[in-house]
Amino acid sequence: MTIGQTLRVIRRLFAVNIANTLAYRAEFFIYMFGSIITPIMALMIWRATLTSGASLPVDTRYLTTYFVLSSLAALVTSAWHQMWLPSMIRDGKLSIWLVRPGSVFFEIVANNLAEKAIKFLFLAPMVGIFWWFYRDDVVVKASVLRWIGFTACLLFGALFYFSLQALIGTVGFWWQDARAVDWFAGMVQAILLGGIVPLVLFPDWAQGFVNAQPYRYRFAFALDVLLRDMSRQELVTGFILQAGYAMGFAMLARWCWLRGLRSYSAVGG
Amino acid sequence: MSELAARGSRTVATPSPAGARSQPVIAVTDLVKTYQFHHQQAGFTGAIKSIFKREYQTRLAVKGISLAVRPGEIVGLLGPNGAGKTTTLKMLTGLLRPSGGEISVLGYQPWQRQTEFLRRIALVMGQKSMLWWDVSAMESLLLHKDMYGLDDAEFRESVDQLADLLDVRDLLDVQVRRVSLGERMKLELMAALVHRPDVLFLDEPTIGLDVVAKARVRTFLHDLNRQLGTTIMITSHDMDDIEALCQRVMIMTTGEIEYDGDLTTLVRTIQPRKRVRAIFAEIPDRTRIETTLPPDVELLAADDDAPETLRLEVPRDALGVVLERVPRFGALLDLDVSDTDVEEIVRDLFLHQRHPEVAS
Repeated sequence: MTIGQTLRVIRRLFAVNIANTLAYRAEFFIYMFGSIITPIMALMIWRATLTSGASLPVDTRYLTTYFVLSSLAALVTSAWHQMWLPSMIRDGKLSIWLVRPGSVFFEIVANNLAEKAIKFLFLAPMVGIFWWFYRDDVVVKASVLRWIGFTACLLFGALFYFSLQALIGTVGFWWQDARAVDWFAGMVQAILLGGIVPLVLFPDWAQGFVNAQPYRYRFAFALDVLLRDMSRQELVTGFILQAGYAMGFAMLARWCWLRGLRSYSAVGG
Repeated sequence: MSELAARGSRTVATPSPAGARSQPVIAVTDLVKTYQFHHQQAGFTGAIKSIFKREYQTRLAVKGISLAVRPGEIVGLLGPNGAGKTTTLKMLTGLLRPSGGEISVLGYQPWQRQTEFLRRIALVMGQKSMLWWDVSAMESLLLHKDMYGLDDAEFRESVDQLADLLDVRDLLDVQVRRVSLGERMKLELMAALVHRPDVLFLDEPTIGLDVVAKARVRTFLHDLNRQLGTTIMITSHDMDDIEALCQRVMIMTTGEIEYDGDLTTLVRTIQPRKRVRAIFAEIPDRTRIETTLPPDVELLAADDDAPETLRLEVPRDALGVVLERVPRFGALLDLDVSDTDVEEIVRDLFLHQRHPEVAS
């Protein structure tokens, strides 16, 4: 398929997914409300920690801005197809995509973008209220260049995370179910993502590992680019690592996908 | 090889007149598919044992079959559950990679799933939907338009033609989840055919449909084959589908093709006798009938509720004599000659393959 054809198919699938998504508005509201609770709770804990006199390497303004923006950054870089890809493989529903010239990943990308668009509509007002509530401590004094870097890092973060979730989903070709792998990855992510504990707050001895591990490059690195003054060397290393993880996981996911298709058993008539 | 396979042509069946001059669109040689699976004993102990030690077994689902299908043919692939027919269909459409042998469909190796190959085939699975349920069928058709790279004129012409053939014009703008099963199957066929594939694979296309919907789908497939020359390969447990559509049938049992030939020959081979039913104004004299008819004609037991009806099983070559003599047994009200029900024949055939000792 040509790039133009691919984009046309994704655009149409995007519209179909928007229609599907709008059928479940209440669910989205609750889901988005739940997803903003995490940064609010984390922020309240860290602000209380600072108020109690704890010595942290960052101030209240950094933490507040970080958590307000992290809810949006988490949405932009999110992906969830690792949950339904294994069931499509297990139940043979993947077959309907394999006999057409369009890839199932067209549908996955379209679904990802459509749900994010709808989720954004629900999340934006909540973040607005969150922002307004802590307005005195939300400070972003970034240059245009930093905003460009932040945006680019978020896009690479989205690619990395999308590829990682695809990789987890392909486990379904061999194990029928990827829930255990997904659960384990979720546990690791909860600690290393920077969604509850900003990575800069990890002890010094752990900083080398924390800065090199892939989950940092979903959105924490992008927020660092925007909010922290990093050295040129830190920035370059970060960009290289992020691009490497994004491309590396994308290639690995593709390789596993193609290998997996060979063992696909197309269950059911 | 079974007796039946020896009687039917095992590799190449009677091609359609147009097809006789053409190269096969589907050519399969020594096709093999194996699956590996593990055994697990039932119960708690079995579950615990399977954690530490699993016994794997390899199952030969398709055992080196060969076949050729020519352009414009409608071929029925029949067999009991587990015979390997759906596995074969999945290999032909590229869903499964063969473990051995060679396949060529339209000159492509299906498992490579090249875009050009996928543009020229379609698969309709009775139990899996290709349509997006929360939007109208037209939305799904437009998606296929983009996916298959159809231009506006081609698309419009194809939609118009299919909508008329299937009588679904009023349904195109209705949300798919709101239409009935029969209507949905017609829309599925439309989505599968909007790009005008050269080869159409159908897996149980009429499953779950009522009698009227089944008849419409069959008529449509027949017209499609006649008007566009689409080659059709169909698996179905519904023998009426096969009788209505297929000039040629392949019967698979335990991964092998046991018969490949036309349906009429199959019926004659398995059941060389015809059934004659005659209804008289009064109860006929059965003793006289027994002495008058040729000795190899079987007089079936009379039905208590209809003693005026005479039922006979007659060798095909004795049919003329029997039909000439039956009117002599009384005032004839009705006369009917038929083959044994195809479903019954195929059921007997499957039973024979599995349990030769109980075959009828």
